[in-house]
Amino acid sequence: MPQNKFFNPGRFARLFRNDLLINYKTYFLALAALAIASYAFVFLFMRSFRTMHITDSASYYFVPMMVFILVILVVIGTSFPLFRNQIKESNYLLSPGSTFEKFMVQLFIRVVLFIPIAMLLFWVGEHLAKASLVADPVTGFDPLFIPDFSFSLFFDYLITRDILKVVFSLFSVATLLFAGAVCFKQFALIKTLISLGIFIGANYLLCVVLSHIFYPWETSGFNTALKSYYVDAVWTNMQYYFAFIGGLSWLFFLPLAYFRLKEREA
Amino acid sequence: MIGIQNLTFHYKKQPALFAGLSFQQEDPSITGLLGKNGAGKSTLLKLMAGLLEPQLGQLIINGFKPFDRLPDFLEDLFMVPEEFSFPSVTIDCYVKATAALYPNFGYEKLDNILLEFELNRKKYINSLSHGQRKKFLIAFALATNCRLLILDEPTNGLDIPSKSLFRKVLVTSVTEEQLVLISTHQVKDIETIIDKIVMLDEGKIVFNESMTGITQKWQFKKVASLSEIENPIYREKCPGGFRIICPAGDEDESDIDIELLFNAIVNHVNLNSFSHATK
Repeated sequence: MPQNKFFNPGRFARLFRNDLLINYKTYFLALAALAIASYAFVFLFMRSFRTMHITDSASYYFVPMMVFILVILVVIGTSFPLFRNQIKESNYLLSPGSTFEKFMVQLFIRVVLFIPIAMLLFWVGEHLAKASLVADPVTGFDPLFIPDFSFSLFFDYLITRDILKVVFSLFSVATLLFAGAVCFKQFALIKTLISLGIFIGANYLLCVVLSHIFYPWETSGFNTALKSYYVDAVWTNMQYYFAFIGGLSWLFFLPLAYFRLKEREA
Repeated sequence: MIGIQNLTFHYKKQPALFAGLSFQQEDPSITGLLGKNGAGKSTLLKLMAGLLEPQLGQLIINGFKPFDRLPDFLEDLFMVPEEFSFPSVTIDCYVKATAALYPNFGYEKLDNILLEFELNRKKYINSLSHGQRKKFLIAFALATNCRLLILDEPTNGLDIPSKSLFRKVLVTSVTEEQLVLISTHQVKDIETIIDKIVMLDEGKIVFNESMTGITQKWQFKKVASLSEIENPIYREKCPGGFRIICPAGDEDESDIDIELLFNAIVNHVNLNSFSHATK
């Protein structure tokens, strides 16, 4: 039965259970560390504003939110931890399950399960941090002036900058890191970021070269002469370019991760 | 069970380890895969397990191409590598998490082997000694009841009583449907339990014979002097005389001296030439 070759719900459940039973302590400790770190970071961050009388929510929550997103990306970028050790990698590759099931177990744990749990912990941490702040009559600081944290603050902020583009771009970065975790044996996260840097640098260099070729009178040194124009009534060519790269590159990285996993040798 | 045709394999930027290697093994048995260090035993086992992909040739194990790593193939294969690693959990937790992945897993069989090996299920695996961890891995491998068990240097790290216990447990646990492939260079450790000897040298299978076939063809003796021996195929000096291989005659079958046989083969002695002698 072809389905049995690639995906069997029972086998997937057994692989998932295997991962949880073996790694539950690691996962629990990681989540506990995340909860404590979220609370401590936000508490100290809010406290640093106590002399400034700021009531704008973005000031309090934008930086912690960015750090939170970075943490999520790091967790995704450290998927397939057994690949960092050749012996463990062999055991993993020989565990009875299809490549697709193994791929899905990691994606399920690191994305589908981790992100909502991390969001909940972050939300609790933000509220606890605000509740822990004490009013200071000398400086006039009162935590009641700090707006309550809600993820909708972030989404409200995003809507003005096209939420879909940002969410898909974040997903694409996550899939890039996920693919990097499969492609590289050691220091996968660092190597992925270096590869990304090289890729972006090479792209920029290509733009410089093309600018020199096609617009030599407008280009000097490492400048580029990128032309921006409206493709339709809403978006320019540059917006389309970034929307395309950010929004669709996960369609390349997820299959890349799968096929690299399938062809991995130990 | 194992079908290898003209297999070619080399590691990146290395000369070919196997070029045109062929090997067939249809019947279940306990087979000893012997060879010098660096002969490619572990690589061959990794190819059979699907951890490496051959560059050329056909490799079929239990009806599957190993490198496809299909679940039905992986459910029926267990490999005990020479070097191994366990997560930081108890034996009980490991069994609870991993045994369910093997459809034919024998929980009772595992209990019995753990009892034989005197391993406590409540103990953390990584708190055990290297030998105890190896014994647990062997116990787990045998309990999976996989049709193909690959054991790479299983006796490395085991003390003398454990080695003999390993032999006893292996012989009593392996069923008639299983093929156990044991790779080792410590031939003495497995000489009493194997049904067949396969020797690998310079990337080729240079010897492939059942134990019965060997005793029918050759005799292994220890003699004080060579004067009484007409046609030794191979001889080696030893304290008190010589160890020799000679053609089997009408006398009773002798115990196989695998070490001597191994030395004869790696010294390129033609075992079918009844007058050839070296050393």
